[in-house]
Amino acid sequence: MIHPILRNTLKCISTGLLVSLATLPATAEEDYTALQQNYEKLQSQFEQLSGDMAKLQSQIKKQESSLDSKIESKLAAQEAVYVERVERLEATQAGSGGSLLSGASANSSYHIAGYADVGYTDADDGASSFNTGHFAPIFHYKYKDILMLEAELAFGSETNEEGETETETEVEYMTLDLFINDYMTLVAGKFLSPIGQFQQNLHPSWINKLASMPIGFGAGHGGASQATPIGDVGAQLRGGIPVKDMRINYAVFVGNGPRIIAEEHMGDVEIEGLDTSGTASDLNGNKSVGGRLGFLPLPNLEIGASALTASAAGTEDISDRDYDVYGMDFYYAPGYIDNLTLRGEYVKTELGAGSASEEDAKKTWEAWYLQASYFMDQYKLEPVLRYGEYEDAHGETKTQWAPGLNYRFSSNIIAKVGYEFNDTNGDEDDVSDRFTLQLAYGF
Amino acid sequence: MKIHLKKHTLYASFALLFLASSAALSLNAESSDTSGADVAQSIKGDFIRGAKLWANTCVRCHNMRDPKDLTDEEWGITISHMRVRAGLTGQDTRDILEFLQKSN
Repeated sequence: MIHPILRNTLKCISTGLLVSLATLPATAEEDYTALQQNYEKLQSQFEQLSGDMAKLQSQIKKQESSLDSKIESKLAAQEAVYVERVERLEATQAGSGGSLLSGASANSSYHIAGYADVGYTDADDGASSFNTGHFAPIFHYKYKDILMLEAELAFGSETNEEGETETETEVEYMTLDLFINDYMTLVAGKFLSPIGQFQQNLHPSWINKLASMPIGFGAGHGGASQATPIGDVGAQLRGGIPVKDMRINYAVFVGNGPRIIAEEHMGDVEIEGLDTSGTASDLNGNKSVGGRLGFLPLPNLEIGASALTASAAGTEDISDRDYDVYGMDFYYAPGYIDNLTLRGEYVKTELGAGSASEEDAKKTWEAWYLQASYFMDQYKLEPVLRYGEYEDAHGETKTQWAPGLNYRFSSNIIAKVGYEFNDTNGDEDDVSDRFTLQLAYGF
Repeated sequence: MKIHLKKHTLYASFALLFLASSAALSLNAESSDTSGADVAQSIKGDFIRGAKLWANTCVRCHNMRDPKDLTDEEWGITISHMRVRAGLTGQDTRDILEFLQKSN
């Protein structure tokens, strides 16, 4: 391709020469030869110029190509920077999750949940007081669908025997949950007891339908558990298995086991109860083994059976003793009455007799309750009725009727009004009827 | 004697459970259609199945939370917590999560 200016110039020169030649006389042979030589010379120059021009064009093409590739690579680098920035912004936005209490990155996510409550109690023996209630934050930190950390702390205030207010802080549970497969999870650490339903699933105040626990399902004097164990430190295998249209859920565990709480009275050492909140070490080198099997023949019916066996660690004056727990529980929501739920639980704890030199015989703690609740969606009201019985290790039986009425501001904010009719076959001074108020919030 | 029995019971229980869960896993894999679309749907979760499970399962213990109470990421963690608490399978968890994340 010849440059247009050069092409025009050459055309002019060639035309001039031809015109000059045409005007020469035919007889001037010498002049003609000279002109011929000039023409050939010009022809040669023309060809040389054409060659130079081709070289120049080739160089320009090379330079253009080089420039294009440089621009392209620079643009690509700039694009990569912008893409990275956008991805980072998107990740930051996703991480904020709209809340300071949660966040996520590509592989990990965390969330702070929990519950809190405040309340008021007025007993018919004259004692009435507001209580600070409880605050229980729960930390969840998950890595992909492989592992999750769960930890619940519990803060509360109690009045001790000297009338002083003490702030209590406790790790309710702290476990690492390893999702082994779709049907099994390994749960290791300090966990709530899977014996029955109340301790592991129903005790949070925004879940419990009444302000108090069923009698016999909490902790008694000196923190000793009553009829049901509170927790353990060890490892569990948990999960669910579908069997056609039915479902089975299970939890089996091994742990450090309980320890005996004993106190001296009038020179005699007496067993007060058992510490089942989860001992940090196995005091007698004998592991507890237990679990629960839940069976759901229908989606609205669950029947559970639990068992636990261990050797409770003794004290200086009390030897180790066999410790066994049995339990049954159920949940039923009749399909023919919407929003009616029925549940109940039975648990029995046995502590074996001591050696011949110890006077304490076999001890048992036994408790059960039945509860019905009906949610009136239109009014956000939920009447509740619970009946429970508890027989302690001294053979004293307590009974409790507990009617209540709840108002749901939302599914996780509940105001509860209740009254407990407490009775006993033992010392009447130990029990009194109570009016209870509670506001509970699950978050 | 009781100590040995406990240990044997413990080991046997854990081994049996592990075998049972593995068997359930393989049976499930064999019985399921392994076409790409179905596998992807299975891993992702099923909205309808999730809605049914949500309605039947959560209420066994507590009031049903509004899906709008939590963000997608928060439901992702919360449902893992509930998987452990309520004895749900991994597929149940994915189904319920699909429902909650599409409904919030």
